[in-house]
Amino acid sequence: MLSNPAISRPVATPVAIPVREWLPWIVFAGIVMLFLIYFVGAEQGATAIFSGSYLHEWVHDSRHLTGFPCH
Amino acid sequence: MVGGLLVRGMLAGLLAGVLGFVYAHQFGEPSVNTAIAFESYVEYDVHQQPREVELVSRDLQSTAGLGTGTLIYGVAVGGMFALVFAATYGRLGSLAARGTAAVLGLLGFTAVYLVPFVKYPANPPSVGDPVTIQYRTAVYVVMLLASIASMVFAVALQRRLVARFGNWNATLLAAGAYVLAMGVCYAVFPAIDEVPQEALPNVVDAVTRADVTFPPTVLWSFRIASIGLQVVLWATISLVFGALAERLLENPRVAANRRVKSAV
Repeated sequence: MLSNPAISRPVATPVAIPVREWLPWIVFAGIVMLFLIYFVGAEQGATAIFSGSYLHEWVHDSRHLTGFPCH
Repeated sequence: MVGGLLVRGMLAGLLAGVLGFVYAHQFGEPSVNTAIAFESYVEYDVHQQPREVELVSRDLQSTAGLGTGTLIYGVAVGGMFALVFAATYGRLGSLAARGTAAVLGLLGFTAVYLVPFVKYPANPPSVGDPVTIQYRTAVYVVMLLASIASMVFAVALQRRLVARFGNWNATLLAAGAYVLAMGVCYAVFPAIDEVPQEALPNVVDAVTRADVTFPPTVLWSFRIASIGLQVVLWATISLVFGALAERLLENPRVAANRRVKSAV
């Protein structure tokens, strides 16, 4: 098919990334990301992996401001 | 490809975390400090409790501590954002990278923060009974999951309805489905009100057995700052990541090569 360069769009319709390519990433990298959010949001609060409350106190202000229940 | 997107999402999240830290330090800390002053006043001056030793000083909490939290949160949300983007890119009609990222940013902010917030708003220190922290966290997380699941369902529904109803009406129907689902959640989920309130005879009962009322304007400014922080985070992530993803996925040189190949 002939296309006129003056009206041809610079970018083709976006091509979706196949499920088999992103599924493992969502599962494994997603768990890591959720773990990070957990440490800011709930560790040494509702539940605890480490004992004490130093981590809780350290991220205290951001836990309140990002909207997680804290006290 | 997905790895490249993930790195870009985390970088956008890092920048968002830095901007979020500056925002939170400027606009969030004043109400946090007042709330902590209120807490101290009630515990030490009103109830004459013995003073506690600070594990982490207020200076550290409001600077390095706050920065650690916002940076980690920004990077994590940015990473998740990139992963969800990888799964949705090319599946939202003709939306290209920047448009997809902008739409995901709006939907993400709504589903992950705003809608759960309306039922269970962010609270400053001294609001919330420490005894109920597990219960409050549990219902908040369940609300969060319900909201995210409903939003994923609504987007999938929109894609299915497009062919029959057109883009505009399909979007309205999907939005209606999300609003309906969350309306049911709002009605079914338990109400939580733990803002300290002294009893006013024939007006309100005491809340959390408080004999001192938490100052309402401090609560208001804290919650506005909390919303503002999320706006800064989500806006930065979606706009910066959109630009980075466009360069990766829709680089004109790459697209030109593709056209040459298909013409041969």
